[in-house]
Amino acid sequence: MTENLIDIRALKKYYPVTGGVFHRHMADVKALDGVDLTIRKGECLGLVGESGCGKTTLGKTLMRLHPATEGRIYFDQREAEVETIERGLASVDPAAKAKAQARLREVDLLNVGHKQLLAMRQKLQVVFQDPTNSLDPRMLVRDIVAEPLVSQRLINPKLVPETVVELLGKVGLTRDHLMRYPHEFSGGQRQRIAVARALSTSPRFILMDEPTSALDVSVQAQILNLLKTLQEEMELTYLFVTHHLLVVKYISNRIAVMYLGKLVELGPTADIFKSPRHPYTRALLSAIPVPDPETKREKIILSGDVPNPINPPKGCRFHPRCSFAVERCRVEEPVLEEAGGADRTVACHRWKEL
Amino acid sequence: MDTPSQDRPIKAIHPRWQELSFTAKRFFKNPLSTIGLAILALFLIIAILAPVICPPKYPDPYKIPHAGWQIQPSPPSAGHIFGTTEEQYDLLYGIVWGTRSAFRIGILVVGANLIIGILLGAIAGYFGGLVDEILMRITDVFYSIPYLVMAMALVVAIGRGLTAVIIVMIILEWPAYTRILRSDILVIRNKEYIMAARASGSSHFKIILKHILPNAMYSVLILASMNIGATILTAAALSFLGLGSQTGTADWGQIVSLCRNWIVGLPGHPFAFWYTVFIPGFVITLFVLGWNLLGDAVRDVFDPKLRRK
Amino acid sequence: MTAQHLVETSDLSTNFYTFEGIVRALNNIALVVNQGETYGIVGESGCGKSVTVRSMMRIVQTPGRIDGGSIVMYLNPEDKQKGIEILDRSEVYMSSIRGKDISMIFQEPGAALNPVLSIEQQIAESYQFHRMGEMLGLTISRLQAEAPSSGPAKIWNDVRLGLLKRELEAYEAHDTLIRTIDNELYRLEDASDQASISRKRELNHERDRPVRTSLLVDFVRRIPFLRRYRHPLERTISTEVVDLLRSLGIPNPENIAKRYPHELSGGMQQRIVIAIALACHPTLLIADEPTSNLDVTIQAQIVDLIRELKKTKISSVVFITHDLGLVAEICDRVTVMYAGDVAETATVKELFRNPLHPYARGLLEAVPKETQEGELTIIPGAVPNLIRPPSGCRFHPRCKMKMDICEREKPETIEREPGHFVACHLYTKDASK
Repeated sequence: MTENLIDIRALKKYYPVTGGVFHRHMADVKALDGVDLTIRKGECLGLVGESGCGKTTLGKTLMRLHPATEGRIYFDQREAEVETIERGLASVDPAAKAKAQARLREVDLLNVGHKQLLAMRQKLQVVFQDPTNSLDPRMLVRDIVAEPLVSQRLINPKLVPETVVELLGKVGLTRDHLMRYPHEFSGGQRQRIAVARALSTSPRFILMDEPTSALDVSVQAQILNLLKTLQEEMELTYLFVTHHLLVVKYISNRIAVMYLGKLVELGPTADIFKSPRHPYTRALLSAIPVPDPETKREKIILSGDVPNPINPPKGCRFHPRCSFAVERCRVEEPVLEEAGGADRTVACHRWKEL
Repeated sequence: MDTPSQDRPIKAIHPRWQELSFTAKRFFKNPLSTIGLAILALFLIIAILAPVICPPKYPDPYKIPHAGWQIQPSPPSAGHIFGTTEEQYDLLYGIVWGTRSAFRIGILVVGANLIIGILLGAIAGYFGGLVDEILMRITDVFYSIPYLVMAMALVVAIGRGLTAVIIVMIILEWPAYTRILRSDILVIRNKEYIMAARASGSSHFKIILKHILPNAMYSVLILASMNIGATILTAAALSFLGLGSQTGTADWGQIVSLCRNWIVGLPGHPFAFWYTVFIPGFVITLFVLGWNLLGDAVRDVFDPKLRRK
Repeated sequence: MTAQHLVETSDLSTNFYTFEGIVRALNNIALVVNQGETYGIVGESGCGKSVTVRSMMRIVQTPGRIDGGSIVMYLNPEDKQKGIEILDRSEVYMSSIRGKDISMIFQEPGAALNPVLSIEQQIAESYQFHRMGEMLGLTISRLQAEAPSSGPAKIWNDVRLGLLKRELEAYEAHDTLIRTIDNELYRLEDASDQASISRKRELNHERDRPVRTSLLVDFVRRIPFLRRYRHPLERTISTEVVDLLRSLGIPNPENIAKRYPHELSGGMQQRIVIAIALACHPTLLIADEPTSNLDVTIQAQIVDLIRELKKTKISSVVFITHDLGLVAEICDRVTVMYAGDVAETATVKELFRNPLHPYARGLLEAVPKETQEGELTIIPGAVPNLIRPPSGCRFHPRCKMKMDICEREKPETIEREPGHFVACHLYTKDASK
């Protein structure tokens, strides 16, 4: 049984909205409102959703680029250990709680001290969406790719050029590209440089935040194939955040669907595409334009726009746009429950009937 | 852009030199910037060669020698190429040594402003929150201090002299630099390469030094280069009002102040003493023009939007 | 039955004169858009799809310039067979057809809307520019119908009616003048002798003169209080705007009309942009990647909307995109462009069933599909720099089927099958048998 590399529990990220002369706290933008997610070793987990669903926030909070409001993230811990700590936190006994909280300071990514954070940065890396903005325009490629190694003092500075050339080789670039500036490269090449940078510290996990959304179709294919090869070669784990459903189908083993700060469905890729259970997932899949004029798909057109994360609807967050909503959906928020079949969870009151 | 199959030969020149030569080429494309640079080069040569052109008579080279004690200025003549101003201070000497003062004031003031501005601006811009609020309120306070009042107060406290002028200008002008750098940093702070640097494990200090400042420097540098000219003018004005250096110091503003009584000239000859006003005034104008042209050229070269047009 | 052409470009070339060199964005391309169809233009970044349609509307951004070729549009309502050479017409003529006969919607709806004007004001601009005469007529008839019988209200009403009628007269006179000029220009369209050319220049110049209303109206419009005579006109336009919004399926149109762009979501903004584009019932709607910035579910709504509108309001649509899925869904015919060249043109079914050009084939194979087996086939390399484009066929450095001739000569476009055009040396050889 594969172990979990990352175990996210009850993650919340609220952005306060202040108003008035004294900057009083008026409301919160609930970007993430209690997300539980596990990422297994060696898999590529796709995280999909539309704008405002919180998928980008989830990735960035995971990397501690944004501070989280609440929640725990366990990295490479045994499941039994995690359960013990969680039980301790939830218990009424103050001693058990304190013990659990003390333990958290050593294993919770969101709570660890500075030195451990630096060690964590070696194991978790990230590739961003916009290759133009994710590389410092005033730095040479050599310095950009070596930055993680140099910042974490993992390398003798004399060895930098050779190491960088090796890394560039892995992503399909050559030693000529070493002493150049980012603006001399095309979008696809810049993204390769970003991938080389992410690989420099030999990480275990890479967050891919929409890495191909800003690229042309033909280049996208190159980058996707590269990422797949690298994952097998270097035994990496990916969290692939995107809004492009066909891309996520191509590259990920499991898919998690988010809506307005919460997870609504989770399962193996093929299963989700074959039989989506949540009405939102269904609408999402039906809206994908298919590059085949012969297939005529019946589209589920959702009414209205994506609502505001400041005031999410009461009950099930999707109910105002759901054609299957009943009274219960307006009042009670559904929790993620097992939905039959291996490894499937869905958060809907009526999934059995639909 | 080159495909991997069309690799160019390995660069012989380090890319930073290439960037520099590219910048220099762009710089000299504009004839005005060459003129500006030429003017400043001329002044620089004069400043360096001051002891040669006008050997100092007193231990303090900045004291202009008297050619006599007559109050009325005398026109240009063989002994005094530019003539003399009130109390027979030699104008040539004053102008030549005044070049050194001008450079000193300009560079010290702007240099200090740059340092303070970058330090405080970087801290305020990068860390945000309470630190930012406090620093911005402090700059607000400094913005609202009236210039002349502060100058007069400082002169009373420290005494007349160029030092007072320099300190006044530093105190009253650093907010502008801070604000500009801070606003650039606010934009850059949210760029993805900063987040990538944090994900790489860089410390805050390193990020500011290696990532933010090299990218945010442009606006401040443009402001600085355009401001040196204005700084000289302000110093001259302060000296003219009597808040600057002592009478008889080789400082252009000081020399202009000496002509106060002679601008109108004699009855019947309104421009009898034109040289007392015109010569130092012209020199100041030329100097400021040179810096302004340089500043314009710097802006044209460094403005990121115009860079690749 | 051959379809009636709407827009024909031939030998069109557009270049951008930049600091680094001349970007040869369009390389003598030829396109035909038929009336009543949805025509797609597909390609990656830098292929020239946006530049093509901007050239058609003559809104190419500086430092770009249309350097050659011809664009003929068949917009004459009386004589559909007779085309107008767009590149010969004046800028004022182009202003009069932009928004009225051809409209364009862009990729970022937020950037296309003015943040300081309300939605109503922005849609009204279109009405005020193109359909002023009509609006004046409607207002006058409404005021005449509601005329109060006596008292100061009647006097005020009479004053208003008088002024509005004067304005209407001026517009109608202007319209008639324009129509006569246009008719003569149509007649002289193909004539190329010296006398005709100078006559055409004269006519274009005539056409450029602004509308002349009477001095009285001009004067009154400057007096603050009396200026209010135009309020009924504004009210008429408001009603039209609200009707337009309602017909686009926008809920609560009166409320939305008073709002500002930043208060609306991306999908709603794009719908407003479409409303502005449709305000004057254009013959052709050009959509330049209208859904690329929108979420998938909103994209489905907008695409659905455009499809509905095509049935009722617009006659032809040119849809630019990089998403082959959208092309398959919404377009009838499609052109694939690469680096300023037209690679292939065909009906959508034909293109997906049998792509001839190696680039088109590569593109179709590089897109992840729902029934994807194995790895994606990639097209090696990257889009070339158009300042120094590859010689001959611009795709040759990346083409798996490259031959020697591809480097030397640019391939001609041939009609491989009826309606299926391709520009590739693989097929020219067979055709020259």
